[in-house]
Order: sequence, then structure tokens, then C-alpha cells
Amino acid sequence: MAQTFIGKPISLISHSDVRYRGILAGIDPHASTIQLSNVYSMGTETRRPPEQYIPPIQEPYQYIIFRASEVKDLSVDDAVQAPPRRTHEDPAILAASAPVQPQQFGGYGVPGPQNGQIPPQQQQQFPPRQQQPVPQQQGQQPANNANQQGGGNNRRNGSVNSARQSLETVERALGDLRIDQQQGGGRGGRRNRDIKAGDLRVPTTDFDFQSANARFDKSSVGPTKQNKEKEKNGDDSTQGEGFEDGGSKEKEEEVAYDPKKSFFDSLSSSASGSTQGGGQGGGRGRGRGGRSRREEEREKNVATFGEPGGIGLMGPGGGGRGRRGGVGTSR
Amino acid sequence: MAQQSRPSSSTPHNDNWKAGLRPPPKDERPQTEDVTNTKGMEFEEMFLRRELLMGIFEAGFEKPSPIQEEAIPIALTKRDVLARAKNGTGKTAAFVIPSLQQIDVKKPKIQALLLVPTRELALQTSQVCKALGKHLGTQVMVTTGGTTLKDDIMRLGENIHVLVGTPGRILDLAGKGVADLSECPVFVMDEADKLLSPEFAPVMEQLLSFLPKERQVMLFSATFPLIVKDFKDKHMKSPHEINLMDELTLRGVTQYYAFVEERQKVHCLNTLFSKLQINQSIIFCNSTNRVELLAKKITELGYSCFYSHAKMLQSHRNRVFHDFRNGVCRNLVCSDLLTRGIDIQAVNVVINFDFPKNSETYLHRIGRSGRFGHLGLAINLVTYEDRFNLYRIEQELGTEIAPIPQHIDRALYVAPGGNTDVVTPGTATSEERQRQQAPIPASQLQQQRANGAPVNPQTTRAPPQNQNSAYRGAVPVAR
Repeated sequence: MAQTFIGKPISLISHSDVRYRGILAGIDPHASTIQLSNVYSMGTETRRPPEQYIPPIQEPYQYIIFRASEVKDLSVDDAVQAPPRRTHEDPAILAASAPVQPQQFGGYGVPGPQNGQIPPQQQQQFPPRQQQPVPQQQGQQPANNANQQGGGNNRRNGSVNSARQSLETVERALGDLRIDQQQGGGRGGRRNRDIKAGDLRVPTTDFDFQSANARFDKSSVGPTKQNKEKEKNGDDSTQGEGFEDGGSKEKEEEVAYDPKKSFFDSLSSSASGSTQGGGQGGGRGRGRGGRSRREEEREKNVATFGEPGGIGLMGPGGGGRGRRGGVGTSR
Repeated sequence: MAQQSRPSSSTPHNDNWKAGLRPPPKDERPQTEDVTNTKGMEFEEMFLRRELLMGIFEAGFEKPSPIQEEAIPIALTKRDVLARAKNGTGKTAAFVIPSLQQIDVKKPKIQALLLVPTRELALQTSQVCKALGKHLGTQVMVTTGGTTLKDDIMRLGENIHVLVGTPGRILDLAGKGVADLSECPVFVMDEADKLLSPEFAPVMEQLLSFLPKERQVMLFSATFPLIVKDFKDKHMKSPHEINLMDELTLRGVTQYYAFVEERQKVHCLNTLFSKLQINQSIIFCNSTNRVELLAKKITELGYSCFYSHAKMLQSHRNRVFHDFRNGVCRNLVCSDLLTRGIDIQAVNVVINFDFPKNSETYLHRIGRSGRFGHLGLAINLVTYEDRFNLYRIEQELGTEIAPIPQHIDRALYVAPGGNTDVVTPGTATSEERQRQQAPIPASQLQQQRANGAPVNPQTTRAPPQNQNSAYRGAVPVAR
């Protein structure tokens, strides 16, 4: 699963609260390591009190191997790559490519600032342009990533099939990310997990009903639906109390309830799928299997609430308590 | 008419008995013609026993509502009845009153079986029975799933005249020979279409087999799909049909939609909370999980809410229902569990956080506000996915769900003068309002009138809000 993120820009926070941004180059479950390429150290930003502040570093590291156990959090960062790349490609910054020897950090924990390897010039450069990743919609370009992560390519094919215990957290984080991505948003501030949940944080401003409603033209729904109505109501009208001749049939279909014609109605109902006319209305109603419906709902729950919700205290299918008296139906 | 001896009959010239009655304070909120359009009949003209009339008036009924006018006299002739009337217009009393009238208290047998589709509704209906039958000496028992069968069995060892409950449990008791229905002449199905949906229909058929051949079958609902016709043809003898619905939706309920994305729903709801003058609200979700997730979110937003759904313990469900009814909390999040029949008169706003998938569900949901002809608001959060359902429901119900306006006129859903909880939009946030103030207790606004008609709906102003004696229903305890 995590493999789908290889080649993607990643933000990684170490236990020292330093954030690194780079391209996920590979995950080695055996060695419990995560490799990023083209890595920028963002420093501690606001995660530590001021006295423990570690500033960001402008030059990227070509390659860093992180010990998974030292990684606190991981997230896919849509927007981050663009700005640094621009810097990187800025012809004025000749020294940006100055390679930091990979082997210097080879395999051992979190390298970087807290190891006292802060480049001397960082103090001046410290006014950090990049401290807050700018929420940009089209930051992440797979093609660009591919260019950048040469080193990661072979690892991509490496075996990441079964995640080791030590990688579980990271895997889980990556799993979360995928959901997070689906729920889509291009919205700022999902750099760590706390904020990610807050992706749905309710804005302090009022919901703008007018402009929201302006995006929806209710009248445009009609015609297409009407066709569906016709085929759907076809079986209803055949059992209608009175029978309709061809001419008035069309009209009949639009009126689900006409007290002048019948005491009964043909409103769509929760039961109509299985009950309309013994034997005939089979095709209608909710045909989807319970399972996929549950998955669908979980996805929807994430979109609405930022979390999928429990499978239910009673387990899937809602067995259990209190149902025997009501024949499982005393809702 | 009842064949047994009536210990007393009500005659207009003997009004002393009325002097000692203590009806609840009048509910003076305006009402629509859904309940005021009567022929002017009086309960006293229905040849009811005086003890029953006492219960009726003490429960706050004044005059029969249209459905009560139509159904009670016919039902008293022991004819089968098929009655259709809008949500919250007095159906419950329309079958409880004739059922009680026909009870012979001296006969130690179950003489009326009242079936409803949900447990909460069973509790509510049994309370109406108890209140109306208070002076009759009738023994009313409610039985539902989710409670101990043993208690029910012991209770049935006593003398029970009216049995109210959900079908499954009653079938259980009848099948065990514990509930003896062999001399029960009255068989009522409230929310009849729901009771005849596939999940219940076989149970109903079995239940009927425990009743005597000579019996009166009465069906009540606001929706009658064709499936009911099959039952009618099979089990009813030339039923008298009553249909008071020229249209499906309530006059007093204004319906709006707000177009949203799924992820905007919580934000939208938050804004609604701050803009609307909610006395009490019911918020519907389409699944139990979503009920819990939303309740959590609402709490995080700083509002209080209860929630209820079918997977909760029955004791918790009862607690929530009871407390919400008594105005302990302003908002209730629930699944379609509480879509039908629930009568909480203080509810003036229904919010479909998830838009329902069919017209029947929609109609019953929005009927939780605008009880007994009062004013109410129904707000639907509609996503792009819901667009066809929105269209279809509008078409089928022959109603219009309009886009929500920038400003919702309070006169559409807030009773004039009946509400001290006045907040002008924009001056105070709803957080302040909702956090600091308890809702108007349902017991005050609602007065548990059990759908009795008013005498003169628009003449006087609302009574002071501090009369706290109105709610006379018993605490709902599942027995």
C-alpha cells in the first residue's frame, strides 16, 4: 500500500520535531527505514518552544535514510514540491546542488540540524520562505517527481509487500493519507495528523447558502429524471386501482397520490423495492450488497466527519441486543 | 355503540362533572386548517362515557380534530376503518378513544390490541391511553422488544384491558399463550403501512389468527401504499374509508433545501444552528453510524444534543426519548427510528442532515415538526448525489422544496409570543443561546395536549411560560 506513495512528496516529522520534506524514495521493511530524496529540513517550525527552535535549512539533502522508529509522523504533501524546486532551479543559486554526502547519514537515525550539522550560513537565510507550505492546487506533478527521484526507482521495485512491525505506524499513517487524499481538498494545513482531522474544522464564517445554492440548478434535474420515473413507475400503474388508458398514463405517472382517484398512493417508500406487486418489481430498489454499501458509507463518513465511524458496537450487521422482541425490526 | 352497560352517559345538561377537571394550560399557538377545519362536533356529542370524557378534557382536548370527528363515531359502530390523515392531526386519539369506549372494565380480558411499528411510539401511545382512560379504570399495558419477557409475562398475569406494543413481542406473548387475544374485539394498526411492510407483514397475519373472527380492524396512517390494499381485501370487512388528505404535506411546515458538498454539511449545520430560532430540533441521518458521528461533532461545536438509534440499548433509547420530550435538551440526532408517529410539540425545526431516499420517509420525517397544525420548518441538506431524490420527492409529494433564503422569516416557524427565547439573527451567536439557555421545556410549550383541538386558536395570547404543570403523561417506562 505504501508503495503507491513512492515518488510522492512527503513531509516527515522526526521525534526531534524537525520536519523534512522530500520525495519518498523507498521503504525498507527489513531495515525499518524510510528513504527520502531531495530532502529539505524545515526545522522545528512551531512544534517546539522558542528556546529549542531549530531553523530550516535552505539546501536540500540529496538523500536521507530515516530510521522508521524515529519518525513521528508522515504525510503526503501536495503543495510543497513546487517552491523548493523553483529555488533549486533558480540559476542564481549555484550552490544549491552542493551535495551533502549521503553516506554521511547512511542509515543512522535522523540526520540534520540536531546533530549539529547546521550549515553556517543558515542564520542569514533563516527568514524562511518555505516555513508554511503554500497551499497550491497543482503543486504535485508526478512527472516532475519522476525526474527527481532517480535513486528511488530501484527501491520502488523492492519488496514492501509485508510491512514489519516497526513500520506499522508509518504504514498506517500512509493509509490515513490515502483517505485524506481522497477526501481531497487542496486545502491548506494538513501537515500532520492533528490538522488532518481538522481538515473539516468548521470555519468561523457562516456557511454561504446563497452561493452554494447558486451552484445547483434544481430545474435542470427534472427531464432526465422523468425518464427514469417512467420506467420505474411503470409497474406501479399496472396495479393501480383504476386502470389508465394510454393517453392519460403519462399524467398518472407524475401523480403519486390523487385522492380523487384512489385512497392509495404510489409514493416511493423504503419498502417499495421488495413489495411492489408480488413477483414483479424485482429490479428496483437497493440491489447493492450490504458489504459494498458499508464501505461506501465509510467513505462518505470520512468525507462528512473526517472519520469512518465504528463498524458498530454490535459488529457489522447490527446483531445483538434487544432485537429479538421486535423481530429485528422494531427500529 | 358499546353493548355493555354504560355506568354513566354524558348529557349536555349535566355539567357538574366538568367543574372538577384540571386541564393543562391552553396551547395558544396558531394552527392551520389541517386541524381547525372541523364540522364543529363536540366530544360530548359522541355518546362517550363520562369517565372517558373526563380523561379527554383533562388531557387538554377541547374539540375533536377533523380525523377524530370522522373516525370516532364510525369506529364506535364497530365497523372496520381505514383512515388517512396528515401527520400530527390527531390520529392516535381517533383510535384510542373508541377503543377505550368499548372496554368493559369488569371483564378481565384484553379487549383492545393497539399495534405500532416502533418501541418509542408504543410508549407514547400507551401514555395517551393511560391519560385518556385515567378515570375509566382500564388497565393499559405496553410491551415491546428490548425488554425482559419475564416482566411482561408477570404483568399479563394481572388484569389487562388494552395491550399496546410492537408486533414481534406481542406475537411472542400470544404464541406462548401468555397474552390471551381470543376475546379481543378491537385490532388497531397505527402507521398501518409500516406495519404491513415486508418486515412486519407476516407477523401481522399471524397475530390476526389469535383474534376472534368477529373483530374490528382499524388502520391509520398518513401514507397508504398499495400493499395495504392487499391486506384490506384479505382481512377487512367493507371498511369505512376516511381520507382527509387533499394533499400530502402539512400546511404549516415550510420546506427548504441547502445545496452542500458532503464535507460542508457540518459547517452548514453549524450555521443553521446560529441562524435559526430552534425551540427543539430533530436532525435525521441515514445510518446509525452517522447519527453517532454527527452527535459527536455537534457536541464538539459546543451545542448540546441527544441521539438515538436502533442499535442502542432500549433503556438508553427510552431515557433519551423521555428527556428530549421534557425539554432537557434542544437537539436530537436520530435515524429513521423516530421518523414515524413521534409527537413532540415543542419541535419546530426538522433538519435532514442526510436527505432521505424516498417520499414516504421524507413525508414522515418532516411531519415531526408542525405537530397538530402548528408551524414548523424542514431544512434539507442536499448534495449533488441527492438531486434526483430531491426532484422525485417533490414530484411525488406535489410540494415545493425551495432553496433556503438568506433570511428565514421567523413568522414561518416561531410561534408569536409563545417563545421567550428571542434572538435576532446576528446579535447573538447560537452558541451563546444554545449553551446558556435550556430549550423551552416541551412540557411548557407542548402541554401534551395529545392532539386535542383548540377552541379558538387565534384569539388569546400565549399563557405565561412558567406554568409547569402541563405534562401529565406518565414517565415512559417499558414494562
